[in-house]
Amino acid sequence: MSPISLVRPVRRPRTVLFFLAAAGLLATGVAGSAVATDPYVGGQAATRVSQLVPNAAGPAFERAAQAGRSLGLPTAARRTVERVDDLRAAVTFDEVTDLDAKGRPSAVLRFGTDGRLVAAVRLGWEPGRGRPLASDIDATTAALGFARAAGIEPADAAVARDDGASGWSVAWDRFIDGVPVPGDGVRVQLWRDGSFHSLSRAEHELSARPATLLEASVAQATVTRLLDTWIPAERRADVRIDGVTLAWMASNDTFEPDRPDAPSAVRHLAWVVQVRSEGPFAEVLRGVDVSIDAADGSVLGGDVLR
Amino acid sequence: MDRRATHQRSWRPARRWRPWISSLLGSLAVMAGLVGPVQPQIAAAYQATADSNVTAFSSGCIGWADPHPARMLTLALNGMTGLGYGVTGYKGTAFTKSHTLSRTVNDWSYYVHSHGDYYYNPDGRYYSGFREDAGKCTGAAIVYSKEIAAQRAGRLTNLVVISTCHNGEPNTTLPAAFGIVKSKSSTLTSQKTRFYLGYLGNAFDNDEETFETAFWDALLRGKGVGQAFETARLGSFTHADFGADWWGNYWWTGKAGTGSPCTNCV
Repeated sequence: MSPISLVRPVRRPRTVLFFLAAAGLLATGVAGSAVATDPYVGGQAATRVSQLVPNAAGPAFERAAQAGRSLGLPTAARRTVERVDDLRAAVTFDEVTDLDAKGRPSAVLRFGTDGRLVAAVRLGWEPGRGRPLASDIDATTAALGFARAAGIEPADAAVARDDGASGWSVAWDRFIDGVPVPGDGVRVQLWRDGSFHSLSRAEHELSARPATLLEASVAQATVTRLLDTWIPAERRADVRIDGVTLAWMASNDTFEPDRPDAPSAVRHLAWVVQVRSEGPFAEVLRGVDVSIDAADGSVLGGDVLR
Repeated sequence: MDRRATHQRSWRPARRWRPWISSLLGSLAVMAGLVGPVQPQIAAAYQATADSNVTAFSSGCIGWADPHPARMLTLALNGMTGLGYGVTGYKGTAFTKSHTLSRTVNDWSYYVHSHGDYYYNPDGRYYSGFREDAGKCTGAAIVYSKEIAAQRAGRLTNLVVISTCHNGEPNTTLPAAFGIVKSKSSTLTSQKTRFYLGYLGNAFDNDEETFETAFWDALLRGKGVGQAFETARLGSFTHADFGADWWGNYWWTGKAGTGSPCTNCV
């Protein structure tokens, strides 16, 4: 079950809707319906922040105190809490900010509407003064300890990355039947001495797995045809398909600007066709990932590397 | 004498707006113009520039119209405006190397979204930089860090966001071009009102937009640059190797000018 809930439909003042509609006319020449149906307008405020009623703030503070102790965060002198609707990510969470005796923020903890911890970060550049961790195994062990202390039992294999002076990053990516859900999973960041820096987790809703999977070769052929259309003939030889992998992906507007500005909250099974460039065309486009819906072969979305 | 010193004296705190007004003005300005310049507000004392390379990612160059560059420009315009900068956005034929080098002399804040790397220069050395737009599919000129450094000649910068590949890596030469030392300060005694943000390695647009959306949003909520960076890093990124780094002062507010470096410190 997802620890985070979908946001409610956006309510905007009518004057704002009027101006946004006017902006749509300026941009497209026709009155579009995207403003009315799309909860996130690209480039605009991504969050809607409100105060929690006192009855809800108390439990949030208690959860923050408990999680803070588990993660070794500094003891807060006082706390504030806000309900945050993240319109682009389509999630709602309660954000507790721990303040020190001087009123400076020392930590941020986010809880889903079900009360589960979804993120925590110790604020400040505090690289840690203890002996540096010796290996990725040590980093993974330390990160696992913090995850478990926060009530999270990561699944699958951990990948530890040495981030130099910034410490270590340990990630447990989410897999469903061996297929990755990019961006989902648990990530713990440690200072070099293994002390806690941050923790985050994400778990998106998945669409139903298709009864019949499209062959990878079909997805590859679809992208080959698209590249033949997209890339100027004199540059076509500079662009090649570098790989095809199966993954749970968001639909997005990379190739179709009329789609919603935010990536879909629900992930779909897709063949991700990785296209890479070389030669002069790489000055323009280093690469592009094209996601082909593994159920029906349609273009789900993509991602650009410039 | 740094002629922007007079700006410090003339600067006044921005009037409080309804939070959606500056965003709305920014979006109207961007959507109304196919090319820059884009001015979401009347220029204030603290000039800033936001450049975005849209042409190389238009249907005329790559076969489809990628919406990211214009959207990320809008994000930056709204963010910088909210922090008190008098920002103007440039894209298409208006974002040229000569324009960038001309404006940087007076820029207190700078944003660019383009193709970036560690480029070979005709002088035989490598420098960090990024490509202009200039309405070109290929052959767009490179803006080298050494050229920015020569123009600025050590003048103070506030906030610099380089939304390109590679320009947050340890060997980047861009921070120094903007007068920002590659050190991380957690006190108020060093680099008090400076912050540089860049990405590591090859960074995909979706991940950059996820990061920047959260970064600007946190700044507009008054969270300060360090907290904005930390919370942006909590996002869900499609590519596991996505990374960003920063230099400057963690506790700075991000607000234009050389005034109060921190809203929450005593």
